[in-house]
Amino acid sequence: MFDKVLIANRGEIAVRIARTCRDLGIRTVAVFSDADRQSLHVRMCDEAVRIGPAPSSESYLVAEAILAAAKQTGAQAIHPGYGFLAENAAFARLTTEAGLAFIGPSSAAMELMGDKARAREMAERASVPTVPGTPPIEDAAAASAAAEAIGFPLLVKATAGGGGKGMRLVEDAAALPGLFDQARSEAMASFGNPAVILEKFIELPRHIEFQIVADHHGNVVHLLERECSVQRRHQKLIEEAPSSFLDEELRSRMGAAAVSLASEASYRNAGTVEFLVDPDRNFYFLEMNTRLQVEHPVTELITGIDLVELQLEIASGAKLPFVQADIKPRGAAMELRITAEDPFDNFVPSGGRIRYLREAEGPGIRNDSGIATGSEVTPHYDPLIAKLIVAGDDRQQVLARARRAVREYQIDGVFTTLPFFSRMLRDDRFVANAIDVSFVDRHWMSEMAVAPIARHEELLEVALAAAAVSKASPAIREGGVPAESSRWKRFGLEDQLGNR
Amino acid sequence: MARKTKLYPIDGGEAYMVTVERAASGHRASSEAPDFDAHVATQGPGRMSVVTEKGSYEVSVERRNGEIAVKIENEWFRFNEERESADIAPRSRARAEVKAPMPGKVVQLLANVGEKVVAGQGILLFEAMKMQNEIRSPQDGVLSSMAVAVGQTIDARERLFVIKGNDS
Repeated sequence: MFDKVLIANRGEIAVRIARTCRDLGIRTVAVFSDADRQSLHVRMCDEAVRIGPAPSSESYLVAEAILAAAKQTGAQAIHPGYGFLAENAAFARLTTEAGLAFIGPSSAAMELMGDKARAREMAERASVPTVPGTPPIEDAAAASAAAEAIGFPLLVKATAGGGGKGMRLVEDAAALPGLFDQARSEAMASFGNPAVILEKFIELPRHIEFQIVADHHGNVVHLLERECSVQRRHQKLIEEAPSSFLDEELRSRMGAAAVSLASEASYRNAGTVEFLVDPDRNFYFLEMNTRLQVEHPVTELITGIDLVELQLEIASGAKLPFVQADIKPRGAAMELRITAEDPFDNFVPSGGRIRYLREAEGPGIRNDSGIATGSEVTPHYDPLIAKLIVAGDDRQQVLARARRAVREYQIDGVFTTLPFFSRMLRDDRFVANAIDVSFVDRHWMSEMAVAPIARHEELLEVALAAAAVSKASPAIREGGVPAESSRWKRFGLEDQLGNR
Repeated sequence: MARKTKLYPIDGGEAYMVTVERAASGHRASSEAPDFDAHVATQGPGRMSVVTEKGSYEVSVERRNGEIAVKIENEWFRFNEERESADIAPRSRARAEVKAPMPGKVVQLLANVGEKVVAGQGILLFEAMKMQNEIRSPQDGVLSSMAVAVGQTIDARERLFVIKGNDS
């Protein structure tokens, strides 16, 4: 096992990786930009190295700076977390060439899975169902011919794409030529590669993914599924396991498909095979993510496995300590992604200082957070600030605990997605798991966000009482007590208010 | 000493009248319409505990630009501290200055100076926290000045543009 690991990331995932390293007695090295000197991950690691100014293109995305930090500190391995350089094959190669272990798959496996067309061929070779589609198509005439075989609606998708860029939904043949050209030029502009494919559009699908782990000795095991159908514009908001949509038979077929794909690709370390599942329970390979996922804690809570520990073990050459038959779910778990975005204003990002923070606690609660009271949420990085992960005996208990925890969780100073969860966790359709990946886009802003406040009369009275006291007592208004004022002065203020 | 405090619903309408007075460990806030009697204990800037006959509540309060926003159980209630005066009704103020909601970068201008715009129309595309968002006109009028250019990095509350009302 390694003695020292550099964590090439920031925020909650850097903190989460550092925790397991300490559990294992491994020294950790944080890297930080100028915007992150005060951030939690710097304090949670044993050593810390500045790697550049605030923009990630000049810090967290600069491979040379991170490798130099590893060399300077004598780290033996690099954990990339997710995002930034985590799926950058060149970075993985440079790390290995520098004589360090990259905690993740080989650069070849990353390149393979990063190319949608090649990943699809690999899936077909492994007999994993894929969405009916075409190889890359060059011109609109060829696209029209190929579209006949697939049928409408269909998607035009950039092979190098992601995040919805270079993607168009085509409803009928007449719209195809125009949208085909748009997707190609957007793909060229976004990825420097105009290649696009056509794909059947699966209506009302669910997103269900399988966690796999593979060692360097040819063993591949899946760690069950996560359902991630609560998404907004392809960004996941809630993930849970197990999926109440799967029965044992389908779970075992999908798990076997994920394992078969990873084996065919000679994949190593932790990865995730994503599937779309249609209402008739047909599943289709979507893509493979070659990294630790944001939502990995859900899997940890239902399997009892520390995935970061397992990643470190695998990277240092150990065999998987279990076989497929050992993997049985224990209860249920759900993750809520707390981002600094205002759900009532179409999730517009919200920056600022965390003026007050009190995380939810108690039975079944786990917090993976990158913030503390006083943290600045800056526009430079991803708005994910914390994850609230809830475990219980079954989904019903998890839902009850999640509602309680969301109510208990207090964050002041930035808008967050907590109010979204508050309403979502009470929605009958979500409670019945009668949803699909477009549910939030179809129902949130137009319906759920504008629905009347439950218990409005009761809460209005409380709001009026609080607002009136705030207005009548200037010294206790927000910012009325300067952060730098001494305790004595503060006591003096409270004395004047009769609030001792 | 009791103090009458007025709060104005954000969407207009009759003012609420709340009486605030000191009480042991905090303040008493009471009102006739709606009818309530609450004890409010302040626990730090913007943090309050409210106890009424109906229950015990944890509350946070933010005051900004004459608005008081109260969060209870993840629901927001908003009030104005003063009534908007009649001659600057929000729908057609003579001059509306729009500021950056947070630090970020200007990606694209969506309207030209001198152009007639309507309330809700996108005026510029603003990138913050890796997400692009439209900054919209708060009212009908004319885009009278643009204080920023494409590619410019902007601090929170920095002026972006000015809309002059149709009537001015």
